[in-house]
Parts: sequence; structure tokens; C-alpha cells
Amino acid sequence: MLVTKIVILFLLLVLLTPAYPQSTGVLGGFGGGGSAYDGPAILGRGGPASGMRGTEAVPIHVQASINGTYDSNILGFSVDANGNFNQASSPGLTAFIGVSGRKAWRRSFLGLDYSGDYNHFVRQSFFNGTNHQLNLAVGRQFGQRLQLVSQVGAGTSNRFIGGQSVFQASEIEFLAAPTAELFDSRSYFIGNSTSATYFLSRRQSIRVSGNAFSIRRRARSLVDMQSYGASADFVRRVNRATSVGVSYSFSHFDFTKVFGESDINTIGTHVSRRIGRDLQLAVSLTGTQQSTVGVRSIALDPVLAALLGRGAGAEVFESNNLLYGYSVGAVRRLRRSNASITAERGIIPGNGFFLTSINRSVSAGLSHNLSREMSFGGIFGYNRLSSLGFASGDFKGWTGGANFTYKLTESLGVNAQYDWRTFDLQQTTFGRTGYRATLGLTYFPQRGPAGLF
Amino acid sequence: MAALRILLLEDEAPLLALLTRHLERSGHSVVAALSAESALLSLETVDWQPQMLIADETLAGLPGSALAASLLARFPRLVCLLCSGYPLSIDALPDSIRSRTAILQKPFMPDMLERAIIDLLASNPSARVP
Repeated sequence: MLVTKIVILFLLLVLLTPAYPQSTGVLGGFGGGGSAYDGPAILGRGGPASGMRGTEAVPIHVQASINGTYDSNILGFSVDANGNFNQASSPGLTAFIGVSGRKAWRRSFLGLDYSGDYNHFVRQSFFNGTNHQLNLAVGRQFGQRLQLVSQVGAGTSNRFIGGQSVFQASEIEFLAAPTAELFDSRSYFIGNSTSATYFLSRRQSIRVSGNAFSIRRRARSLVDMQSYGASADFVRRVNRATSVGVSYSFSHFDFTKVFGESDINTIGTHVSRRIGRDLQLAVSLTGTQQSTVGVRSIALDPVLAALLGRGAGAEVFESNNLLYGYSVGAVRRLRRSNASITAERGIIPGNGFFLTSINRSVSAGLSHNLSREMSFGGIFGYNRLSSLGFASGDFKGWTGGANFTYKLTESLGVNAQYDWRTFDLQQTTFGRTGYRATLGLTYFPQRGPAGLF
Repeated sequence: MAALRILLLEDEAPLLALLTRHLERSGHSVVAALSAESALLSLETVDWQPQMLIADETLAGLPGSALAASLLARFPRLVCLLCSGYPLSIDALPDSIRSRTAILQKPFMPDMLERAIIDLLASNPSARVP
């Protein structure tokens, strides 16, 4: 039912989006020379936009590749006869196709990021299959003051390592996107976020938005989740280089397969500033009131365990906290390279084991064109989840990756990529380190291959 | 699974709220109560007959099985799911309610609750009649 509503809403917005130019209001539109409201572009509202690379819109283009791969420590949601996790390594083949870009008219835009791949593992055929990720956004300006943007994000994956298999946030942040999964077990994700922005003047705007998300995990013991929320914010452009804003948001998480739910209320202040031509900074500070109620497992006292004939029980808990959060981000664009770094602290619905959790993360990325033929990129990420009631201990994860592309012709290149991920759960012996090495050919008929970010 | 009219009895308010929302999301119509006494009072004020009683056995006042005995006599098609965190045998229940009662051991997960409801309805098809 939820999915149907999301699809119907999105189709309506697509139908409302004209494929021809219209007259532009005083505030400008999505394309054709830019809006008069063009303060700092990054992180002012939401995350990176569909069809964008950093702050640059790219034309819609296709990319395909075929790669030989080697994966270490593929980890399914299963144990062997001795109770040990089934982990294995395997060489394989991957066929990948991506369609990405942004088409803007004076009053509307369409942003698209799709990637799909088929993975064949020589020694682990259980994991063979396709992964898909789609971010599709449409925006339309109504009259001179009102803009409507709607985005659908959907995907499925059974391999949570490597840039193409990880769900990524897009136009408006998908709070619920699964990004800290423990197992290479298939997950499905769909979400919609729709916002309306009203320009009070050339310098001030207010925005209201609503969102709904759903995550399904095939592993029976990993928890599924549904979420809905709403937010409102006010942004004022102080000058051409600086914008400030305040926001309020509400989110509700419903967990299935267990009894549990969370309500999250957050207020925030935001500042973003462009420094010179190349550097953009954004800082947000937030305060959150979080309420979680659920049922969790507990170890019983040995005497009670003997009495009841079992070692574990369950208890109902309520968790109410006032929490702080922040987000600090910087993007630097030079003629031949891009670099970005973001540090955040906020609340996410977890990974199916750690449910409602405080998430502290740092991520950084770099891409650089060494010459017309050669380019490389690298990413690094760290995140730490602290559960707010459902589990104890912390989840700590690190990711890293690097790629190198060499253009053989205008539309064909050799690419090599290495992705690495490690994590552990405190208070358990569970941890995992794995990597994926990729070497192959990339075909990019209309445009050079995109970097890692 | 067909939508049921369920009388839900649980003396832990947060758990009662979670169970109520879960059952309602599954399509059932739920009247929730924190005690046997308030459950009986609720039945006087709502205009429907329950098809299923889901009750915690261990309550401060009247135990769940006592309420079940009373309501099973009053509603001939009613079935009862008794939940308990302590060992509870169906053989310990009065003969009069045993055939229309099932036991669900706590702690249970949502899928275990749904399975217990399905099994109870399968063994008492008359409870499905609206």
C-alpha cells in the first residue's frame, strides 16, 4: 500500500513535469543560467542531488563495464554445523551498467542516478545475482515563488562493499538508507521524499517536506523497518556567499519482526558559506528528542534460568533522551580535482541489528585527473553506531576505496578499483574484514567515466 | 489472515501499546485493556463481540485464565490465547476452556504471535465467523 502510494505520487509529478521551456519567474528556475537564489550550494538542504557530481550537474549519460573481481570474506546470514559464520572468498565476474545525469529546463528538472550490476562468483554461486540502485528526482517551479521537488530512491543489494553496491543518499536525505549492514544478505529499500519550497523573497525561503521509507531484509532475524516523517525549514541568504537557516523535523520508525518503534523530533540551525571560488563549507547543529519503546532480550539470573528452563528472557523498555547532533561538511573544487569531507552525528534506524542508534560518521572523498587519459579517486569512511535501547555495545565500521581509470580511446577505458571494509561489534566476538578488487574495461559512449563521487 | 475482533489484555502499558499497534497493522480490530476488570468494563461500552481474547496470564488482579473462563462461557465462538513468561501448561487450565485456548510462551516475536493466532483459528474454525 505504501509503495503504491509512493509510485502514484511520483508518476503524478512526472506527468506534471513539462519537457519544454517555460517563462521564468523573478526567482529564476532550475536551469538556464541559474536561480537568483544561488547561495552556497552544498548541504544547505538535504544531501547531494541526483545527476550531480559534487556541485556540478552532468548531462544524462550511460556507462557500462565488465570486470573481473575478487571478493574476500563474503558473509551470508548463516552458520555452519559448528556454529561458525559461513565466510568465503571467491573470484568472479561483474557486468555493470549505469545511467546518470540531470536534465534541466527553465522551470523543471529531471535527475537520474541508476546503477545495476550482475555478479557471478565462481566459488560462491549462492551470492550470484543482480543489484540495483535508483535515485530519480523531478522538480517543477509553479509560478514565481513555489518549487516542488519529489524523489524516489529504491534499490536492492546482497553485497555491502564497493561503491556500486552501497545505497547512497540523494536529493533529499534518505535517513533510512541501509548503509551499515552486517551481512551480505539481500536487502530491499524504497523511499520517497517530496518537498515544497516557497520563496518569500529573493533571499528567504521556507520549505516543508514529507517522506516515507521502507527497508526489507531477507534474513529472517534481521529487523525490517518502515518510516515516515515530515520537516520544515527556513533559509535566509545573508549575502552571495553565506546562507543561514533553522529547521524542525519529525520521524517515526516502525520496526517489524520485533516489537519496537521510535519517535524523533529534531530542531537545528544551519550555516553554509562559500569561501572564494573553490571552497564551500556547511555547518549544522541539532538538538533531538528521541523516544523509543520496544522489547529486548535479556540474560536471566542463573536461578531464574534454572527455574524457567531457559537462559534468556525479554523485557519491555522505554528509552527517552535529549541528544545533540552536528554536521560539518566541506567541498573543494579545483580545475582538475574535487575533494570533500563530512563529519556528522545524528540518529538513524540502524542496520537490522542495532536499531534506533546514534550514528557518528566521517567520510572523505578525492578525485583527480592526472591527465586527459588518467584519473584516480579515493574514498574513506568511518561510522560508529550506539544503540538507543535495543542492543548493547557499539558498532564500529571503516570503509575505504580507490580507483584508477586509464582511457584507451575516447569511449573505452581500463579501470581498476579496490574497496575495503572492516567492522566489529563491541561486547561480541563478531567482526569482519573484507575487500573487493576489480579490474576491467569501461565503455562510456558520451562522456568520460564518473569518479568515485 | 482474516481480520478479527480482538480483546487484548496486558498489564505492561508500553507492551500493550506495541501489541495493539502490531495487531491493528495486521488488520485486526483491537480493544486493549491493562487489567481484567477494565477489559470487562470495555466490553460493556463497545458495540462488538470479541472473536479472540489475547491475555497475559500473570496480572495483578484477576488472572488471564480466570477472565478467559468467564468470557468463553459468555461468548460461545470466542477463542483465547494465553501468554505467560512463566511455565504454563494447557493441562493446568480448567477442562471447560481447554479446547478453545492456546498457550503462547513469552517472550515472543511478532511472527510467533501471528503463527499462534493462525493455529488457534485453525483448530477453532467457528471463531472466524464474523
